[in-house]
Amino acid sequence: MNSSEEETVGEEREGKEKIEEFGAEMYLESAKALRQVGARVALSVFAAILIWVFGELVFLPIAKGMTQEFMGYPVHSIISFIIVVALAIIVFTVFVDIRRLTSGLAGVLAYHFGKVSGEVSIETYKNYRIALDGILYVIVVSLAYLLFANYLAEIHPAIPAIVLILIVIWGIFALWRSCRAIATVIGRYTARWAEELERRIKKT
Amino acid sequence: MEDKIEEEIREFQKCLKTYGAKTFHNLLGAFLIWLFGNLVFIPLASELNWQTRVTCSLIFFAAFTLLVLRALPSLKKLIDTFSIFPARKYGVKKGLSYEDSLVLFRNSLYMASSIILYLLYFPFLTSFHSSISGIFLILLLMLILFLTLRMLPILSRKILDWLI
Repeated sequence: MNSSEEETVGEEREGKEKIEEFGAEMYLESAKALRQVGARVALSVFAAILIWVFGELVFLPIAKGMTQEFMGYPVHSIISFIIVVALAIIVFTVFVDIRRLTSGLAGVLAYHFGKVSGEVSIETYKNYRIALDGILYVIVVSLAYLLFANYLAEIHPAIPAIVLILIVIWGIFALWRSCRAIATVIGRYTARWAEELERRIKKT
Repeated sequence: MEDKIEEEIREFQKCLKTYGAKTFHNLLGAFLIWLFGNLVFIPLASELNWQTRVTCSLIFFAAFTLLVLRALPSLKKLIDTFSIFPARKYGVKKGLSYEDSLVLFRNSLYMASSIILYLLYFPFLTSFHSSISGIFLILLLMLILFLTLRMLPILSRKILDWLI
């Protein structure tokens, strides 16, 4: 083995060590995030579901049985509004916590893909994070909408439709942003594939 | 001949470098929007009323179409340049000339991609009205017929050879 080959082998080994180091760090980071935030997210989701169940099965039927109005508004609309506000606060905290979870998860993803391609960079990590954030946010928002839809319809039948249309427009932009982040990673792969093709042409 | 093939491979490589990432980006975006639209948001909207369903379908249809239209020109270039590989590998092996097999594979790839595109559009079109998807199916069949007519002279010779 000559000195240049030895050098390339050494560089490869160093690169692999770096990737492994990055992977271990990211696993630790995601485990830490899961420990700190996971329980809080689970509790928030549980609380939101509990509020939804109690509202749907207990408070709204009671309120609908009442004929009185409060300041010109029917009682069931006011009860729905209160539940919507409570749910909104809980969902907002879940949103903040999810961001921490995705950063750890994106690191783990960047590590696994980096192991295959042989390189890991902060830029790839950021791209995976943006992509994961966007997709997870759209999923969480659509799940949250399911919690809100009935209560919003109690306030006014047009509100859930308007909210859904707004979510749809926002969702398209969020997904587009996620794709743009993934596209930069894909672009690197296609460029590498094109280089490999060029090398093969030269060989033949 | 070899020089020509090498030149075409180089063209594909250039195409891949220039349009590859952009096409994948647009197609991936379109596919993600399709997934979320048809599996999440349109069923949600259907539960409310038909007006919301049609509005949501229209928004997703517009976004999907926009991305597909952005991807189509570069996708066509990629298909055109990519078809040299199957043409070189299979067409020439089956006794077809290189030009003939190139036309054959290029048109087959056009056909496959237009069928996939129709299948992706199908849920949006039926959510507007079932007859709209029917009209598009007729247009697709016409396109397939047109592409088959282009391939027929090449295939007919092969079929006759096989029969007689």
